[in-house]
Amino acid sequence: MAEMSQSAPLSTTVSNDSTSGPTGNKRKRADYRQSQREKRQELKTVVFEANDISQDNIKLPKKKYYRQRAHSNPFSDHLLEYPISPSHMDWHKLYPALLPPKEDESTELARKVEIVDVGCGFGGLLVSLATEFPDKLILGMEIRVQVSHYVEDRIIALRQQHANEGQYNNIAVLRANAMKFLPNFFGKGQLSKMFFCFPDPHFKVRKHKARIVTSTLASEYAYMLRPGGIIYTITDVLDLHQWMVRHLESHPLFRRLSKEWEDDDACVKIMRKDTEEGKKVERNKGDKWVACFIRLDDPE
Amino acid sequence: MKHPIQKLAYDSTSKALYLAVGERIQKFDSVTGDLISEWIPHTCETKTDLEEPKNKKAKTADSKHNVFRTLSCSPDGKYVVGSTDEQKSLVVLNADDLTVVNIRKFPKRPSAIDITSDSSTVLLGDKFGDVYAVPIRDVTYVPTAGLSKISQVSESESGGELDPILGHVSMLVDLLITEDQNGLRHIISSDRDEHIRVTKYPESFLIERFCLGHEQYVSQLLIPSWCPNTLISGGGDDFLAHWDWTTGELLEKVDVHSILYPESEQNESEAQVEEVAMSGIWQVPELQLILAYDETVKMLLVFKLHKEPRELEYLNKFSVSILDVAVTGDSGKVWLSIDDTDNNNQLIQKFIISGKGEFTATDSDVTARILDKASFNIASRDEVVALHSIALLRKHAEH
Repeated sequence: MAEMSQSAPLSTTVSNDSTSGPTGNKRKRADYRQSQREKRQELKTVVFEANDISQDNIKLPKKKYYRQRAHSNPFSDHLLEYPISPSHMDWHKLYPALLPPKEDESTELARKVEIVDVGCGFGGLLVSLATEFPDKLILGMEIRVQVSHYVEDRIIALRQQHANEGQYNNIAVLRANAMKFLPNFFGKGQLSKMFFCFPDPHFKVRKHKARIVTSTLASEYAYMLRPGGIIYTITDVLDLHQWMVRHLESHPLFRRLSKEWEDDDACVKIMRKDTEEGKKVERNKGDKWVACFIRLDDPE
Repeated sequence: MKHPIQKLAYDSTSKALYLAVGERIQKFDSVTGDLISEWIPHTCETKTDLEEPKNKKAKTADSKHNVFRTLSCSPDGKYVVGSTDEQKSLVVLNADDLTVVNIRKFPKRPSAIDITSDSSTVLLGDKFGDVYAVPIRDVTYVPTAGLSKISQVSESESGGELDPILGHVSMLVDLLITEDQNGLRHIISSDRDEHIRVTKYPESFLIERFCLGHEQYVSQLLIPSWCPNTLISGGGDDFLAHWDWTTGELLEKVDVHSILYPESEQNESEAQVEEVAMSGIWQVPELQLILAYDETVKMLLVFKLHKEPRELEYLNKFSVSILDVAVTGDSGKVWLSIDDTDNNNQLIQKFIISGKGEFTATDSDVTARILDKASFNIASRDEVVALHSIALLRKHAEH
C-alpha cells in the first residue's frame, strides 16, 4: 500500500487566474504548503521569548491544507529517520526551550520524554496534555507525513502565541513508525504513560497483525514503560477494544484497571474529550470504549 | 553437475557430518568418509499437515524448491533438525538413521532455528518476525496460522495451538538461545530493521534489553563459548559489532569493509557498490577464532577473540566461495561447503586452520570418498534456487 507522495510540488499546470476553479484551489493549497514548509523549517527549533513583539502572530494551521488518506502501511520501508539508539537521539531539537543541546554536558541529567501518544493524529490529545502535565515532556508519534506536518505547525503556532506563559514547549511530534522503532527512541522503563487513541482498526482478519496492540508488541511496550506506568486505550470499534483488552490482559506484565480508576483519572477524561477522532465519534453519536492497563513489576 | 550443499552440521561425539543438499539430508562418517544414511523427502509421508488457507494457490509438487535453509544437531546427539523454505516446514530426523521423527509446517517461512541445551525444544524464527518454541519430539502442538488466530485462543487451547513466544515487527533473520552456568536462559534475536533483542526464556514476555548500534540488517549472531558474555553480530554494516550482551554495551565495531574492499584495488572510474553482506559467523573454540563470511566478495575472514582485554583481532582472509562451515572442534579442522560454479567437483573440502588463521587442505582421501557419494546430479544451475541472498535484506526505501 503506497502512501500518497509526501510533498506536493508546485503545480506545473498553473493557470493565470489563481482565485477560482479547481486549478486555483490547487495553487492556493500548494502555495500554502510551501510557505508552511519554509516557516516550519525556520521555526521548529526556535525558542519563543515572552513579550517578543518582533514575530507576527503565527496562525494555527488549517486542516484542509493537510489532506491525507487515513491509512499508512506500517510494514513498508518508509523513508523515515530514526536514531540508531535512544542515546543517539537529539531531543533538543524537539524541545528547544527545555533541553540543552546534545553536545552540552548537562544533557546527561536532562529530563526525558515520559509520555507518548502513539498515533497522535492531529494533536488534540497532545495539546491538552501539555497544560495538564506542564513539567513533563510529551511526544506524539504519527506515521502519516501530512498529518505530522500539521501537528508541527500547530505546535509552532501555539508556542508562539503562548510565549508569555511559556506553554507548549513540552510537547513535540515526530513522524515515525511506532510499531517498528519505539525501542530506538526510548530506553527501558523510561515512559510513565502511553496513549493509543482510536488506532487503525484493520478490520480484516488478515490485517489483524498490523494492529498496534498485539501480544508481541505488548512486550515491547512493557519494556519501555516503568513498573506502575499506564497504557491508555480508547476506540469506537468494539471489536478492536475487545482485541486490545484480550491481548493486554493476557500479557503477564499488564493488569487492567477498574472503571472506578478510569472515572478518577484526568487523562481518561482528556482522552475521551479532546482528540479529533473522539470529537468526530461524538458528532456521529458513536460509542467510546476505554481500557487502561498498569504495567506490573517484573516477576522475581 | 552436482547440486551445491547448502548447510553442514557436525556432531563431535559421533563424528558424523550431515549435509543438507537441496531438499535432502545425507549423513557421512567424517572419519571414514562412508555414506551412512540419506533422507529424500518424497519417499515418506508428511505428518501433521496443516490445511493450506483456501485463498492460497495450491502449489504444485515443485519441491526442488523446498530446500533446507537451516540445519542443526541437537546437543544430545539424538536428532538432526532443519527448516525448509517453500513448504515452511520444520523437519526433525533421528540422528542415527535419518528416519523421520516429525515434520511440522509453520505459517510463515522459517528463517532461523536453535535448539535448547537440554535438547528438549526447538526455537524457530520466521520471516514475519515471530519466534515459536516447539518440543523437539511431541507433535500435539501445531503452530497457529499467524496472529489472526489469537482471537480464537480460548477455543483452540484444547486443540493445542501454538502462539509465538515473542515477536519482532520486522523480518527475523537470526536467533540463538544461550544458557549461563546458573541455568538462566536468554534468547537473542535480530531482525532486518537493525534490532538485536535480548529476551528472557522461558519468560519470553520480558525483554531484558536491546543491543542497538547496527545501521543495516543483522543477519548473523554468535556467542563464543570461551567468552559467553560476548555477542558478535554482523549483516549489512561495514563492521562486525562486538557486544557485551549482558549489559547491551557495544564494546567495539570491527571494520570489515576495508578488508573486503581494500583501498588499493578501488578503481575510481568504476562506481562500484561496495556493500557488505555477512552470511555466516562461526566459532573455532579450540583456537579462540571467529570466522566471518561475506557472500558478495566471497571472502572468509578470520579473527581471534581475545579475552583480556576483550577484543577481536583480525588475522587473515581466505578467498573462497562457500555456503557453510562445519567446525569439528578438533585442532582447527573445519569442513567447508564450496559453491564454485566453475569447479563443481569439490563441493566439500576439509581444512585445518592455524592459530594465525591460515587455511591448509587436509584429509583429502576422506574428502574424496565423501565427494563420491555427496549430493546428486542436476542438469544445470537453473535447477538450484538462489542460495546467496543475504544481500537482498538491505532496505531500499520506497519513498
